[in-house]
Amino acid sequence: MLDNYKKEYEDIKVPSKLKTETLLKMKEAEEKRPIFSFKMIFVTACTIVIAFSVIFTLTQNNNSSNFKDGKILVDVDMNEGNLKFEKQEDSSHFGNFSEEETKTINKKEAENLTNQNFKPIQIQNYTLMKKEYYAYYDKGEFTKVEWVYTYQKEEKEIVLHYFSKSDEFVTNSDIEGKKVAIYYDGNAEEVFFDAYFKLKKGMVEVLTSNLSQEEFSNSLVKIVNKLK
Amino acid sequence: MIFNKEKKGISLSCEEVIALYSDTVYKVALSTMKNESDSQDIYQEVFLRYVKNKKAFESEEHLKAWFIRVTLNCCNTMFTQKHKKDGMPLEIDIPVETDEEKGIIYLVNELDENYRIAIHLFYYEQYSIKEIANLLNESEGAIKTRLSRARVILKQRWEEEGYAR
Repeated sequence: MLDNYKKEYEDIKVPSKLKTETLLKMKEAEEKRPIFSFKMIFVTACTIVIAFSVIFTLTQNNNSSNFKDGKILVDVDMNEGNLKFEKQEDSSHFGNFSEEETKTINKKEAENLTNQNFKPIQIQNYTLMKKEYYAYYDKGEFTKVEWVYTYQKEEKEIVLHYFSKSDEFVTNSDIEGKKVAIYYDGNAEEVFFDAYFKLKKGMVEVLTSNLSQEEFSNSLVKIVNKLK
Repeated sequence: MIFNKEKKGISLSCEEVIALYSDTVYKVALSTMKNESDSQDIYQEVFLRYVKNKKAFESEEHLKAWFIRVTLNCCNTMFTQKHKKDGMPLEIDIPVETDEEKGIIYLVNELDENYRIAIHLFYYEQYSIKEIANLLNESEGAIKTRLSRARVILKQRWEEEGYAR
């Protein structure tokens, strides 16, 4: 009995007019179909948001793990008053930092952090050869910034360190030969007080008086000359 | 070969799907709706949905199953809309012209919707019980039961209508 069902149904034909009309409507719909469907846009948007979230999370994790209690060589981007801290390739010896780490802090943060201008002093007869910036991190946050200016006159070199916070005595382990490291711990705007001079191993000269920029510069030159 | 195999499966043009699945869509709709006019509306709706949701399918079987499922969904939607609007059962508008020409289609169309669909998919589309169960999201047992009960009812009516003589 049911064997006839298929046969009887096969006799029913789809009206050709219906086929033609449908085909035309399909073509029309196909032409109107947006290249980017709502679904596609939604999925793409979600993907981008998720990707950014993941990148942000990873970045945050990297910051907290890699910048913790560390000191890294950074770039300072002075544009618009912001400080951009970018790890340099040769700073790996300062900690276990990954290669491409960048962090920017806004002007207000920068002011709170540094409380000083960034203009290096002039040292008589010496040429400023190199400016380096280091950022210190503690528990993922900037705690202070160190400006390192390297001056040269022939083979002599003066390395001047400025610190944004004055609550720390800094020792230097890099002094060798004629290279002098001058650690300045204080507020640069008020010009040099509590400066620590370390000339050779175990030899520390401390200048606690207020010196003008010129006096300080002259002192530096004298100290360097002593090393001859 | 009419199928254009793309990287992620099969994607067919409008002409190709019309050529391949017209019968299936129209007859599933007709079997479910028992009404030519509604079946034609559903037919158009299903193919337009194909264009709107055009995507690559894994295989011919997958695509055919998609068409049947969408057709059944459209039928259900129309049933619901009509029932809400009219509050009356649908009229039977079977494409046979006289009582003498009433055959098994007429009897099948008299069955409840669930039986009708199962019978159509089994005897016309020649799907297996398992495939029908997958298409309708039902258990194989439920489909077996529907087919069995439908056969009993059909046999009974067949005899009552005097076709057996």
